[in-house]
Amino acid sequence: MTDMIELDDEILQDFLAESKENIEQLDEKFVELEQDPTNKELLSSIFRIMHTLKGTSGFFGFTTLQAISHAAEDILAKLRDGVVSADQQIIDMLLKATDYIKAIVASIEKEKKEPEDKVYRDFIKVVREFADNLGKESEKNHEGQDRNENNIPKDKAENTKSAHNKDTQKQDFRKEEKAPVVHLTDTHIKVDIGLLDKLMNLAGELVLSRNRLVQIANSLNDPEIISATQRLSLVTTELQEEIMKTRMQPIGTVFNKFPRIVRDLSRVANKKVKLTIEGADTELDRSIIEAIKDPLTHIVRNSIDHGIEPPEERVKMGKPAVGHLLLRAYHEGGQVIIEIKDDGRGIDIEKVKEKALQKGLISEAEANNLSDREAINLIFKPGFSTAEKVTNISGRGVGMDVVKTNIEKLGGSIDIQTEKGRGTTLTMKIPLTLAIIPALIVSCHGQRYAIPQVNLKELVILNKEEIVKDVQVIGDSKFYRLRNEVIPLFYLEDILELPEQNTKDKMSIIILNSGLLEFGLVVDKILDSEEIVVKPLGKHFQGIPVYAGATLMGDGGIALILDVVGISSVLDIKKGETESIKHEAKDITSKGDEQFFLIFQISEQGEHFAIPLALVARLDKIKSKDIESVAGREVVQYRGYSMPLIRLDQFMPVSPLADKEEYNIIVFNTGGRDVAFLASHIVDSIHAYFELDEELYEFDGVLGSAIIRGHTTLFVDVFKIIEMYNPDWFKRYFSAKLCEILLAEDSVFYRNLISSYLSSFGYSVTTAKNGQDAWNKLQQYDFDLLLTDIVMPEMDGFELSFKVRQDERLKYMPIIAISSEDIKKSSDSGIDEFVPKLKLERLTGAIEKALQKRLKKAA
Amino acid sequence: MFITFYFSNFLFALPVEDVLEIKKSAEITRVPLSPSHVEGIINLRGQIITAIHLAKKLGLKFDEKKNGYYHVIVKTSQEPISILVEEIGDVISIEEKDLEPVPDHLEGIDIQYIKNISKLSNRLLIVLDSESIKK
Repeated sequence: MTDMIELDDEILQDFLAESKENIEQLDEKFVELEQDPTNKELLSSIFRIMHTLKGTSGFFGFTTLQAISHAAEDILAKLRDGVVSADQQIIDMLLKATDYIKAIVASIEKEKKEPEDKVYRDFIKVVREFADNLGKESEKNHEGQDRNENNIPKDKAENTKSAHNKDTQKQDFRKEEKAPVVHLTDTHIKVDIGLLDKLMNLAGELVLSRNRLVQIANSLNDPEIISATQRLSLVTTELQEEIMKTRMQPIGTVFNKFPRIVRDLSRVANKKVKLTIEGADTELDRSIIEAIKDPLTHIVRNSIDHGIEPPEERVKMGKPAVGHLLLRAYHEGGQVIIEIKDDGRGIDIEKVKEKALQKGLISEAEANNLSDREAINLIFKPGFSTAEKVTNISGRGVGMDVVKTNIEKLGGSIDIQTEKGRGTTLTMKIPLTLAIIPALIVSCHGQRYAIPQVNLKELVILNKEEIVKDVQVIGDSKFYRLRNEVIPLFYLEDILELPEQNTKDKMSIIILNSGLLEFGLVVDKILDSEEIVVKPLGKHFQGIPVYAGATLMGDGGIALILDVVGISSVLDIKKGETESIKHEAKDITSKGDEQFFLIFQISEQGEHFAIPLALVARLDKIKSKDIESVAGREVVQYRGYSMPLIRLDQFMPVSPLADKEEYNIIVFNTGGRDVAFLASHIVDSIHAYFELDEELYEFDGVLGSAIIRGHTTLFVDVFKIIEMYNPDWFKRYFSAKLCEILLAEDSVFYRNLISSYLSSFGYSVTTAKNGQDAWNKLQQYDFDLLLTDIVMPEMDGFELSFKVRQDERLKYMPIIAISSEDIKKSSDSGIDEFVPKLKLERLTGAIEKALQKRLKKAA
Repeated sequence: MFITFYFSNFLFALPVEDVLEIKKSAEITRVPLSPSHVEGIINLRGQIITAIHLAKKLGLKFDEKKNGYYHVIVKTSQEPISILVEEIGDVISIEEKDLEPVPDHLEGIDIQYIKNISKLSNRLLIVLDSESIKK
């Protein structure tokens, strides 16, 4: 209950503040109108003010105020519709009405109720009559101009009478009522935001000058100067803080609008929602508060409309009937974090994908291979709306893409976490103020650059050995292995198109996240972390997306501020070449490092070959003079062992390996040992999946072919080649039992690769091209084990395993899933084991384990 | 009244009221990826100002100056800009009648940034258009 009263009070204060501001304008506007009676725009703006006043006073039950503003509105309507034109009398009446309104508002402010004096009721009558008479006059106007004259005396008489009445009344209330208005405005003054901005900028300057002075004072080492600068330093800091405060407002000014919004929305949507607000006193820069109002409202709308279920549905799911929505704000690391959390149904990732497909935002192939996180982020794409039907509440043409852009414009970021059936949390990270942000200062080509901390994930400095170990160079691209992720690296000097420098012994990498793309930015040096004052760049630089502005450093120098989102958009353009291949080859983007293919050649004019990068252990170079020939086989001393070298042209009909002084070697670690292919050069790495043509090049060692960048590219069957090179390679390490495996996999490439790999271990493999095909084959033949992909057309891996588990004959069959899908899901679908695609070394182990388990079960 | 300055043996002028100040050399921070005639940005008492290389802007042939340029800080309708010049000349006054329209062609110079010319006793004076030069 107390909440409700406070809220009412809050709304009332808002109403009074707004009304006072509007009424102030009225005086001025009426006078203006008198001089320019035909100004339609002016009339409409006055009309709107009066209309709002009428509406809101009605809402609060201020009947006198409502009646007066209603009458005034009627008069204005007639002016607006051109029934009469604004003459002095009308303006007088309107001004008088305004005076009464002022007095009433003052009284409400002071006593929380309307004045009850008779004068007000009298005035209502007068103004009502005046308004109505204006109507009559106009009717007569329609009848004929001549009769006007007859009307005038009557109107005039009335007007004079009422005017006379009011004159005396006005004096009455002016004495008593006008005073409070004056009293209430004098503790606060209105200050132009522009002026505050300027003060803020000057304070920023002062901070920089102070920093400079402190540097000089310290170098002079004069105690008197040092103590004087210390004093200046303190005052400066305090001044800056105070000026910052002038622009700070509690986020509550926005949050407090939500109890009402939530109530109305949930009523319309027939849902029950309890709103909890936390951290309403968290302060933020005024301009930011303004800017987050709309995004916040949109998100709350979405939560109620799509997130929280109707009460019946909630009860059925074992949740309380009343949904819970949490708005929380808090400070963290110089930023304000705003969370909007609901306990609704969560975002249905499959539905999101479906919708994105329908709207043509992604291709079917892409949809199959998106990670959950990537899929959720689709809702931030322009032209996306999750609502199945556009309801009253959401879907008003403002999408989440607008929300995201608005937040990013503020230098903030937005993130979604969702759990099916459990709810969704949206987290916005927003800078405290637009003017001063924490940033990392780096250097490149002797110049300093500032990177906003918001986008920063971590810093990595590699020494020479670590560069060799963890950075892979593939074609023109570099990748860094950070824990289990492969992160593309980009040099700041390349992005800025500066000349390349000599490679150094150390590599400074800044891992950045621009929302969807995570990448490492390589700079010359990482200098310091500093609070910087953002200054705009001139219009000559506005077309350059990589800068967010510039800032002055303590020594008076300038550092350009990098825009991480802008940089990632530039990188997208640079990746454009790869993108176009995606289109021509009907790309299926898969996940993580699995989507990288290594393209290489064994002779300048010869064929292009492709190998999944994930199979590659290392890329290296060797001198041809180091190649030794042992019993007709070539080896090289590598890392203390004799490593066999394979020439692809010995095993397939392709152009011979070029004679070179130095070769690239592609090292695989399989069957417990290293083995390498010789290549004349590495062409590139490509981040895509290709639809393979199996028929064009049908010979052992090739899985299929595809056109990549205008070249026919052969996809090499690494395991087959190794087996052809040494038929005992794998068998030496594994004693494969005769075992019938059914492999369900829709992708030709993976199907052939996995099947070939398993065959090399002596397993007998039957393939099926999707879940349905596998199910049919399971009915016809006996298998010892089912190996299945998860995402497949017609019947997916989950459904297939579910059916197998339901079947009396098949229910004990071991099932291994090969996919990158979430492991959690496999626990209740009957899948025994999960193996990531292309971690094939793990596959044989998993098969052995599953078969043994089955043996035990059978026994 | 006009402020005159030199670049590559050309004599240029801007109206005194368009020039905020003249600064002798300031540290220029280069902005990679910017148009070629933009030399960089400078810090003018806390304000970040774009520095435009006059010779590059006008397509003049020039020798790279070793010991820094003068900055002519010019007021424009939007933000002030700095125009880099080799030498600063005198402040002169030219009568309205002595300002001539720009000829169709001027050897070695892009005429779109020129407002007027004036034939002084010993040489040609080129009056720049401060609004178009800022672009």
